[in-house]
Amino acid sequence: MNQISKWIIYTIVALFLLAVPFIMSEFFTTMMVRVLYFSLMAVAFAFLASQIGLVSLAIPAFLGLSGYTIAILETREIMFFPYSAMAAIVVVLFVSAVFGIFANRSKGIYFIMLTLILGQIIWAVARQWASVTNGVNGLIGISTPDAMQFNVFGANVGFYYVILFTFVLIVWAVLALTRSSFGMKLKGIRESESRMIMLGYRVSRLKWVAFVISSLVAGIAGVFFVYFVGVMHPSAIDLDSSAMVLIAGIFGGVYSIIGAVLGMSIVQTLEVVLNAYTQRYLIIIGIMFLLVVIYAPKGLMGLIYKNKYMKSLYDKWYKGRKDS
Amino acid sequence: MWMTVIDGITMAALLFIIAVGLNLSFALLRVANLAHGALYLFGAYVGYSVMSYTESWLLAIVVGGLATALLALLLEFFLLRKVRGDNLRETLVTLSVAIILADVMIVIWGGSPMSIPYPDLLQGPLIMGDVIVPKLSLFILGFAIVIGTLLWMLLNKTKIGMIIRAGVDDYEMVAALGTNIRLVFTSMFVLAGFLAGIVGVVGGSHLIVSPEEDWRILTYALLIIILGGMGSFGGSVVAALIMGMIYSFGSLYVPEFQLFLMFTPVALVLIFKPKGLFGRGLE
Amino acid sequence: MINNEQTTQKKNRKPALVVKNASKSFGGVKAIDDVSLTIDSGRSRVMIGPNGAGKSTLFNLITGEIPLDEGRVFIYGEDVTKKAVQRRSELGLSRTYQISNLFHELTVKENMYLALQGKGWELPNFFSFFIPWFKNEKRTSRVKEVAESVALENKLDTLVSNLSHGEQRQLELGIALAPDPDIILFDEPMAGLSPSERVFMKKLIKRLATEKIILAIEHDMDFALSLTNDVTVLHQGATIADGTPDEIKQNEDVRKIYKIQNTE
Repeated sequence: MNQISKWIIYTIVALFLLAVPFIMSEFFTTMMVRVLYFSLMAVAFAFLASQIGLVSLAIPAFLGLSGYTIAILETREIMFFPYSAMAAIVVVLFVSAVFGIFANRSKGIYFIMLTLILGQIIWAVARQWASVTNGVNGLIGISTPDAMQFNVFGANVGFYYVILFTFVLIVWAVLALTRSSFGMKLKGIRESESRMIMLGYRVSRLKWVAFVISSLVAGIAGVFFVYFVGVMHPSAIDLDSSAMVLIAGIFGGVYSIIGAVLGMSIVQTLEVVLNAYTQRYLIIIGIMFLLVVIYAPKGLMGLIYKNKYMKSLYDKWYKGRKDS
Repeated sequence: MWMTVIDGITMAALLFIIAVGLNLSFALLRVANLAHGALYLFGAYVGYSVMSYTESWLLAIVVGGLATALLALLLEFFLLRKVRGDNLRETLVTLSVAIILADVMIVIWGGSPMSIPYPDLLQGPLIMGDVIVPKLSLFILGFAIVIGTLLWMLLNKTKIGMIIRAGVDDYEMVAALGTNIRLVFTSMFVLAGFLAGIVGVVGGSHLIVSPEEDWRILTYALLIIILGGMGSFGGSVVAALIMGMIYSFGSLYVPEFQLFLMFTPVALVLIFKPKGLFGRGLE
Repeated sequence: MINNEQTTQKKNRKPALVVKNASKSFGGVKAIDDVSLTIDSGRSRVMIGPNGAGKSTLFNLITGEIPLDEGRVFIYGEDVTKKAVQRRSELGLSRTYQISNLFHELTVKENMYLALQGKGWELPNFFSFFIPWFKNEKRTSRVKEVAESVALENKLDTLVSNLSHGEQRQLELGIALAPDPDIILFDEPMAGLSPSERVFMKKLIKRLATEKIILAIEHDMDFALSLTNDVTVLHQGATIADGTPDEIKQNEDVRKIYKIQNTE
């Protein structure tokens, strides 16, 4: 494939994404928005999983933290966008900085156990601290800020464009991180923590920074989540959500960030389609998850990278042009 | 005050039986069975059904335990063995089973909270001077002591126990011993499932049985493992007591942050003694 | 960085590595029992002893990967007993592992790159986060140099998991050498190598012994004794002999241990 046809393809994809609200149904656009903010969570998950090899079950907790901060501030009329969103990000950074200290002290299965506990703590507080979070009833009536409501050619596409732009920016930034010197160090930790320590790396600080970055991405997802749905409910951050993020990550392939986005698109589509037939769609998603873990641990991207062209794209991104 | 202490001890007794099985199987197989909470809930639901057909509480406990043990056996035999050796994938398999099982249980038993009725013999309080103790609490405590003693004897007085302890200490050495060890590992996993099942029935009588209980129980059990230390019997006892007390006092005074409070000792342990109170390692 | 004039002077005065009365037990069994060891600047030392003598454990105590029960460790006069592994690495300590400890799913080039820039913690410059690692010319040019020194210059883009055992041992050495350390601990660098691979490795280590301070665990007695004049014999966690190769060969205790070993 030559340069020109490559750019033609990129342009077509970009134009299609921009044109979605005009050429596709409203349902599809809504679905896209949903996939985009959930994909941000999947990216947060895949960043930790692919770079340091840590499987976190606490990703939705940070979506919840920022979502709840905005919901609480706005329903009580203390602060509004953009200050509420900034406050939400500050809360996310602070909590992840503290949680990161504990999470750093574990690896492998202990990390899963610990993040499960941390996620459950946030969930339990959201559920039980009724005087502030309104408990199981959740907080309702958060309206989308005007800044995300602009019209283009008479169509209300503001929210879609804002989230699409943010999403592309974040995915690019995370991908850039993974091929930076910092990302290389994280991969070193994934492969051999003891060797990295012997080489003089401050391994726990690197892991801590990665944890905070991942939480930040999940926190940004929370901002879009709460403004789009308008409701903040504990069920958004329960363990089923953690599992959904994890399932998306595994579907796509644990070592791939793009894969996580693909995986999340599949999971969300399945959820909507299956939801039309049954409330208990988690059984089906769970079984698919089980099959993927057992039979295709590399997930979708494992298949995609078998394609030579895709593989060379991957190599070029991560390793530079082949030299020597 | 007394009531809260007794509540705490009762909770500790329940949590101990749940956590000790999970802890030992975790230390042996190096698989954190994230379906453990779901197994607990499964035992509770089976016990509930048995209870409503036969009205025999003892039968409910036994059947609940056996049914859960069977489920654990199936999980070990048909699923975990397929991904043997990759601890991360094994853990993910147990997680997916937990998700599936949770939904299956909602399909079978519905989503509304219930409680398992228990015999009149255990209803009401026992008054000892100034102290009023619910009979069920006494039973649960005695139950935990009996099971704890039996487990302790199994671990310390039998040959299987010796293998289990050796496996907890030096996994690789025992794993290298051969296929027989596999059987011991599987048995431990199934035993942990059995314990989860019987506690499900007993705990389902004391607490409520509802969806989401599975994750709550699992979270408590994991807290106890990290606090007490992986593979430590004594650590599980002490950690369960600490957690039980924080649970009951927390529920009374700061229900909003009860789980948060339960995490405090774990946070301290992670900072000052990452291997847990009596643990051997955090690998 | 550590290579300024002042520290160079300091390094020349103080012994490079001192282990004082080190002890370590695992579950009641003494793995290391009151071992003392001094390596002066500009000298090397070889450690021999039967399997299970505690040689690798002693290495882990020196690097700090396992904390000491008792005793102290000094590197260039600095008491590092309670200091982190990273600090010891900053002072110029490096090691190889008996079982190769490499970044398996990364290429040789990436392994070398990681080995090259461990020292210290640079505060992450925001923009450096987004510059691809391979664009850093200063560091990637050193990668080739190091690769050449361990004869892996043709394997730069190969995944470590696809290397042969011998190549992995070479890379193991390369990673230890890349940070340009002053003191290198070699833990059986030739374990499992074929005779032809050994020749290369021997030559390399011999050359290194003239430039760096080496503490090596080695089973090949002839090679070990040809490397340096300072030999320590470890047996059951304790030093039983310490001296020149000739003294060691004459030592009764050593002869006894190795006789028993040979007849087994």
